Amino acid sequence: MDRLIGGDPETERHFARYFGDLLTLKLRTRLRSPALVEDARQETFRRVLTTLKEKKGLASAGSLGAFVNGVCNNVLFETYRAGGRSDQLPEDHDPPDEGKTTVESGLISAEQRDQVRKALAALPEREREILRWVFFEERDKDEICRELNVDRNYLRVLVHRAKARFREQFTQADGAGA
Amino acid sequence: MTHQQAIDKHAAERYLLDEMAELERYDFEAHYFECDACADSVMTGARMADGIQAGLLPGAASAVTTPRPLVQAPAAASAPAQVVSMPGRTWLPWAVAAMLAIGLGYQTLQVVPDRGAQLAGPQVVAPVALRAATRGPDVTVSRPDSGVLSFALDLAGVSDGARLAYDLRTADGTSVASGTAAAPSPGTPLLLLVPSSAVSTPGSFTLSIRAVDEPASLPVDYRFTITER
Repeated sequence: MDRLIGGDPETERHFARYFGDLLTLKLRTRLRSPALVEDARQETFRRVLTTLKEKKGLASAGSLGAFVNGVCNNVLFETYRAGGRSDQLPEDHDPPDEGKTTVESGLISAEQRDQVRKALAALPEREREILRWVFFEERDKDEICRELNVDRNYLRVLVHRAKARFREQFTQADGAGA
Repeated sequence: MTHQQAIDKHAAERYLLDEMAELERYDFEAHYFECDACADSVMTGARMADGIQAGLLPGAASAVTTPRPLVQAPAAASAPAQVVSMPGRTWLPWAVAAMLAIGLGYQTLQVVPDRGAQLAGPQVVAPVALRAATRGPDVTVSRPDSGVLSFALDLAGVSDGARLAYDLRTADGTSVASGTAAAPSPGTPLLLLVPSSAVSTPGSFTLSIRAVDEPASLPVDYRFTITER
């Protein structure tokens, strides 16, 4: 916390990388434009760092995550209000040149693409097929469950297993690539 | 939400699968911002999903040879099955209209994820047939989980190739989608594909269509209601 308040570049980078991904994940489900997501992310960082420096830290270093999330919620609600809506911004707030792909507004860096590809390729064929139905084809989940003859809870278990295997493979690929 | 509750409820998976209500999402986010294990779990899942949506999953290409048609059940009893049964002569205008609608959707709405363009194979569209507001009761459509909602508009009396402007509005008049399109051949409906995110809130919607080059003409309204699934 002291190094972050003191402006240590390495600590700031780690802070921005760790919470930046979490903030992107949280914001992109609610703000349709990647530009709005980035603006809200940067505003959250700015407010968090300003507050930390003004107050010289938090009562508990362990509450940093909760503090970042709370500030992000405030920024999010202000963004909603600025957009004149209480649920989400109108779709046409997305400027014409900002309809970026999932990867560009997402969580995979250009360097990680190959590792992700290898990790996905290493999954068993059956898991790849289920994941493709869910995330690529975006098929109705009830339809998928009917086809697999499982309930929604078991579909979550299947996704959990695939995710665990992906994590293992991704970590290996990451280690090999490092 | 405690860590044990997050595990017991498969919170990371449900978050990833978009199965959480908004309040629960906030609750889980408050947890994973403080919990390294859950943050890692949800980030790993999000990377995996992003990779798949970006087409990094081997086998997505093979789906081209073994296509799985995505047949969207028509939400209204009047939704026709014409797409597969139409004679070849009328297929082209339908296809053109559909392509145009997709293109306009991308240009004007900017909300359909690019993955929508990465079709793994042919997809059959069963559109919801909409008729002018004065010709019968509102059509009721279940709120779509994801993807697009397709509408077939009966455009009686519109000249072939006429430039049309469409505007989709909620009950309070908020425009959620708008754009222009060329009218299809006479007798052929105009296909409009609307991202599900544009109609994600249950309620009444009005789609107004007017001829751009005929300022004096009144817009024709098509009404439908989105209901919870």
